[in-house]
Amino acid sequence: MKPFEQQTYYELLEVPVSAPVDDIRAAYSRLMELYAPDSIAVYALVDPEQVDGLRARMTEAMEILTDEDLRAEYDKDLGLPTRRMAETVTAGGRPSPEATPVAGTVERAAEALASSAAAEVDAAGTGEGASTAAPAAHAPEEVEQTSTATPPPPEAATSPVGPSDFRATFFRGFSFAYVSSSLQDSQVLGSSVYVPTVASASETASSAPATSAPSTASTPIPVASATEPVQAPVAAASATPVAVTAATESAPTPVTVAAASESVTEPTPPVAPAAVEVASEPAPESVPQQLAPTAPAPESTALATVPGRKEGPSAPSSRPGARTPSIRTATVGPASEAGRSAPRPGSGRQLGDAQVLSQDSAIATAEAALAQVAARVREPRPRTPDIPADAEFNGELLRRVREARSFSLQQVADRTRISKGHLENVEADRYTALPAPVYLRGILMNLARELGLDPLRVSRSYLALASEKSGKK
Amino acid sequence: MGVPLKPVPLSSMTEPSRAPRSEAHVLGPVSKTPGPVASGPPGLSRRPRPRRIIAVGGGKGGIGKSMVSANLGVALAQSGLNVLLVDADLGGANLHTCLGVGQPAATLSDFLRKNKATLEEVIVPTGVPRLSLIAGAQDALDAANLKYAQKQKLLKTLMGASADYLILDLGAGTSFNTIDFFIMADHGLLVVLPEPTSVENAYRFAKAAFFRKLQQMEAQYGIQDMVESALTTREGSLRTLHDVLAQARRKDPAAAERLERELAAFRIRLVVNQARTDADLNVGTAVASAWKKFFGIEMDDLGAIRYDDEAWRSVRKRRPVLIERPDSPAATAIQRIADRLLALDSNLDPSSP
Repeated sequence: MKPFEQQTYYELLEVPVSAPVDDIRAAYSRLMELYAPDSIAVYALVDPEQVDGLRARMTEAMEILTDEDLRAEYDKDLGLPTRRMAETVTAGGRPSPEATPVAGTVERAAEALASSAAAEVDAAGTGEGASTAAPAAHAPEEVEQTSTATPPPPEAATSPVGPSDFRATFFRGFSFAYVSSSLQDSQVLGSSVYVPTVASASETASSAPATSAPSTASTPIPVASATEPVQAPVAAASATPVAVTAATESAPTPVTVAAASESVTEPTPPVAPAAVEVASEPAPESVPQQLAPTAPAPESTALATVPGRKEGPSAPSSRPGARTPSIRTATVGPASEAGRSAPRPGSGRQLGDAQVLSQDSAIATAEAALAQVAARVREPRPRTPDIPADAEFNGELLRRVREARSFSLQQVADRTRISKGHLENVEADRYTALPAPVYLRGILMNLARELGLDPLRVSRSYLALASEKSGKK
Repeated sequence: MGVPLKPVPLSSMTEPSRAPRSEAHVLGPVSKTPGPVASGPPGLSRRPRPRRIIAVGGGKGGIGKSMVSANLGVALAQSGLNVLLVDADLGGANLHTCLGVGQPAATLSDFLRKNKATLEEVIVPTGVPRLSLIAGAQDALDAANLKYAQKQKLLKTLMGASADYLILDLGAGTSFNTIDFFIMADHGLLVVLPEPTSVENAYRFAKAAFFRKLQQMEAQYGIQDMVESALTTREGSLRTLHDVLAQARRKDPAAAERLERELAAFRIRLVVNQARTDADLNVGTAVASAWKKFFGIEMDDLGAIRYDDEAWRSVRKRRPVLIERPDSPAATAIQRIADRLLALDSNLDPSSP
């Protein structure tokens, strides 16, 4: 007897752990039908919320299990990696989009990474532009394309990444780390570099056929969810050195290679949340120097400097919590620094600024899309900041969680449709000002869901406190 | 009490001793039941008891519980077993009508009100070989409101009745009078129509049955408070069996494990009636897997009975469809359900009597 909340993804979808992707998809669609809101089988069985919860978890399970590398990672967590490893080895060969969908292990990841790093070294060697990884951020010409392509991220997220090229996934997974250096390249090497860069980008596109627009949007999923251990250190590894080298005006291409090779040698270094903090540190220093008039707050630079960012308000760009913003500042930081170190201060500066702006907008657009996708992926399985199991959820704790996720009250209010006043009262524990328990419960459940907490636990705990306190008065 | 005890030791008890007491109707060739009679619950071990008790419930009225009971009885009797049908729908008895017995001379209420001393005196033949009937209360106005002592007497007596299969046709609703008969059975058959009203009531019935079962076990396991709190719907109360078990586990892991085993052993078996479409045929499976997903408890899907005009015509003729039109879809479906039950029992036989 195991409540569905505790079931593994395989148990949830009622498939064996060896099930091929097609079976998983079939099981998923069958179960979605069975647990559809209008399905007779769940009518009056449990609370509709529970059915929704089950459906969300099943979707999550399907998304994880139909993505090769996410599944490999998950299997590893479950402690059943060897089988699939062996399978992949027998499948053999270089990773390709048509590769067997079950493939995808850490080994393969390493292999793909290695080959991509090699490709990168080649690219750097021929001087075509250091990074092939981020076509979105490469050149203004591409910006148009990307910004038109990025808006449908939810679709991309629902249409699972599946057998999309593992290499492409990894490229884009790291593209964040590379953005800064590639920006620098274009800044430092001059505009003549752009055309070759685009060429190399499209080369990447052809070598990795999964570079269609939706996959551009969906491939970052590993960045935000599964490959966090990889992402954070890489961000640190690339962002910090790059910022330094930008200051020292040394050639940026070796840096990229260094970063890449570093990540090759350590494909999955242990998670170090602090690394992200480190990564973000150089940014605040450099940003105010250059962009202080336009945007003093490091986190809002991208927002403030982006003119053509249409989905800004709707895209919860800060949604994935502290990680994405910090990365963004990291990437923006070097970019602005590069702008500062541009040789011609006058009109050239303006030109450079325009480039920075458009590049920023490209980054921001990509990030907004990524944030949406990441939010989607993350939502059902949020990473709660350490809250003790017996913690009482008072307003203070809820506020801390919200701030840890860097949501503003207004954002939460917009997303949950709970009035800001109520939210303020909840956080300030003004029990008497709060609505009747029956409404408060709904508010708390919504809020908790938004914050990635257990809705039942939060509402129970908070309501207990509320009744206790107001009862005494 | 109900059954005259033969002075044979339990181990050597032979088949005839367990034949139904209905001397009035023709007993067919002795059933092929193997082995000695099972020892009943503690305290009843010396009495013969029905090999299997089947309870047919469903929560909602008008979903064909009586039709299923009657025809299942016919099917089992036709496969050579002695079957006793009991109309436990105390407020709305009409099993006799389904079988075309007419107004019975003696009913269950005669037994309950001590007009008749033993259960045997109220057993009437049905015209189907090996199938006998205890008709439900007819005109006693308060028959539906069984007193506690009466219910205990009836339960005990039924447990002691001697037949290969005892089939209890339960009434609608989820009152304890109904539920208690259901959870005492070896096979709790839950009849459900593929429509929301019926599914809703079926779930309610199933939940009520499980919590009643828990309640009965609570003294044993010291979980009284938990069941109480599970039955209330306050905020923060235990809501599911998972919660109850989790709490029991905290108190006493060993007892919780026994409890879990016992609950898992209590398997509700689904019968989908009046399936009109192919999708309806799968409702049983869907309900079973949804139930399992949320409560972690297995349900069995015994199969679906197609909506069949022949079944309806048979009711109009007051004849079981299995006799009237044995080759109709409804009749074959019921036959299949009976076969499945027999298969289940033959599987279980060696291990648990």
